[in-house]
Amino acid sequence: MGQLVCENIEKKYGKKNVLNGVNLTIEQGKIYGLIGRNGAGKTTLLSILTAQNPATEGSVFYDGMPVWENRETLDHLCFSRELNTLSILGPNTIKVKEYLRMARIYYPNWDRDMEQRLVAQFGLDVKKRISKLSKGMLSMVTIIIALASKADITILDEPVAGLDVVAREDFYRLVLEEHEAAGRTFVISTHIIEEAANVFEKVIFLKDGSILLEEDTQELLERAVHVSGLAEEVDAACAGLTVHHTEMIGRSKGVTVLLEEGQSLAAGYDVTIQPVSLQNLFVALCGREE
Amino acid sequence: MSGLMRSLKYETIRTGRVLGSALLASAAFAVYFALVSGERLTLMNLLGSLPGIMLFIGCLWFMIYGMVDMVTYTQLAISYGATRKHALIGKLYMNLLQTVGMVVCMYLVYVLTPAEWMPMEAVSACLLAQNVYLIAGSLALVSGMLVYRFGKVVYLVFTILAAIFGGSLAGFDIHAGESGILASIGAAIGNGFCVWDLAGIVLFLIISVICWFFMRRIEVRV
Amino acid sequence: MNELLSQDKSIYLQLSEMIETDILRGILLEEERVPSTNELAKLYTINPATAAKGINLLVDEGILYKKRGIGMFVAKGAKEQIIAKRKDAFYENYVKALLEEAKSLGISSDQLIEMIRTHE
Repeated sequence: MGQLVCENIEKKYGKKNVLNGVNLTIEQGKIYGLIGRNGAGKTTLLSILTAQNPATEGSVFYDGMPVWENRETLDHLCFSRELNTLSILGPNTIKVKEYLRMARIYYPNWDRDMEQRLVAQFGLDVKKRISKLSKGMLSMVTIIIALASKADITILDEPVAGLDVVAREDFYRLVLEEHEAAGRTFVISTHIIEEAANVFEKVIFLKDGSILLEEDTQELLERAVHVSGLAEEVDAACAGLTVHHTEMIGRSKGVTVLLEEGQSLAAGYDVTIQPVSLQNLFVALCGREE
Repeated sequence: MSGLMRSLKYETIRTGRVLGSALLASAAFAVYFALVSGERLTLMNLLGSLPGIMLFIGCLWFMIYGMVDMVTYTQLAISYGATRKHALIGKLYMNLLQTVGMVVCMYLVYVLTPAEWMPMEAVSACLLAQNVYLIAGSLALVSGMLVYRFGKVVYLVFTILAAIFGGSLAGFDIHAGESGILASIGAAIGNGFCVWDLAGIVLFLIISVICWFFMRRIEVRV
Repeated sequence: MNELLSQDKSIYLQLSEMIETDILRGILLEEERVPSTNELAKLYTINPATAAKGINLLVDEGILYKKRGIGMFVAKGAKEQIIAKRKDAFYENYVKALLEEAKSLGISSDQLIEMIRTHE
């Protein structure tokens, strides 16, 4: 098992720059959360990491070896995302059974028992065609492929999008179990941030095609504070600090601050200081520009 | 199992399915045409018409499946960790395997039947068939690339064209009477090997190279 | 244990405090085994690294100790240690906020003491 490293990844579509200078190291045995707005480049980045999309510039390495067109390294990776049901062609579109069988043959470490167990657990009708599946069922197929692949580094693109809350909890539990049992590395991109925050050891914020931050989740949350109160007091307490996401109503003001090393709020001002949840922090940093 | 072997294993299974369905369809059509043409349903009529039917059914099947596979299955293979090189090799392998498979089956029909029943001589029929199949397969590969590039419209157009082409062959086969299409072609080009029998394989090789240039940096979109 | 996790403070801190509270309540007795990092991770659906951080905090403070190969155990005298620690932090955690709120409401110290006396 090795690290997945991408160096200086750029991706352009025509004149549009989707990814700029992305450098990322995915260490083995950790669970990463990838968070970004729609259009930030999450899926593109994840595709490039697994050679499903060629980067315009830059390279990706697994365990020191290039990933592009290299079956040996690709055999350690798995990128599972929802099938775009509209783009599947065919005199008969693919049945779930066939889709899973293909995965079974292609992935060298495929766990048939786990596949069958999960199909039963999710109540998936494998005879159904992919185009006829509900959003929830599609998500489940994505999850089954990811988990049963037994890949060293497994990447899931929005796996919980179609699942109800109970199914989501089941998913997080499954990922933690696999992580514990096999030491597998997971990279999960999601929009449902809060419930997943506790599962991610490290979190990556992707904004406008660049990595805004990549950090241990708990450490990141420890340096984020929400300061509120009378506007003047808030400003004084945050003097010299970078504030984000200023909200004002009347004389009241609220800001989010991400403290850097050695920084702290000025003491003695009448302000309410609260911790910031991962979701609120993301919105503060990557939300609409004021 | 190495990566390439895994790809080929899957392609073999897929070829088996396509062939199986083409052979079944051929048998069904043979019965259908025998009934429809108003002639008596004899073994001679059935088996005699079979090679001709296998010719256009195979053609139709390979065109449709070939195109679909080039668009969808190559992308799926790559999404499952195959290299683009392996994905293309897999498709080319499938093309060759299905051609060989169908021709072998056609030859078997000849072997099991007396020569007088058959509209064209065995080897010539097989040479013709491999030619047609490889041409059909190559066209399918090309159209697959076009579908990827230009979208579903090409798929629709190509399916209609294939249907027209296949349908015309079928119609011609019935119209050509008792002996069917093979006899007519046989009469036109004569028996035995001729240099045009290589057209299919040459086209196939050229298209293979073109496909590689197309697939080298393809993005997975499914 | 089995309390819900909130967003108020770091997960690992909440975890260590929960274990401390359980020790105070007699749910976990001295020399008894504490759930492992993985068991805790499973129970709360959190990353095991976070659970480990919470446990290690208590190990560093001497409230838990590790028996190699077996697991984490509650140290002797842990209860007294926790009480002492919480007493020290009592002002910071409870009284300070109380005094600030009282000040902003104009409640004097005497009135506060009166309130405490009445409700004792």
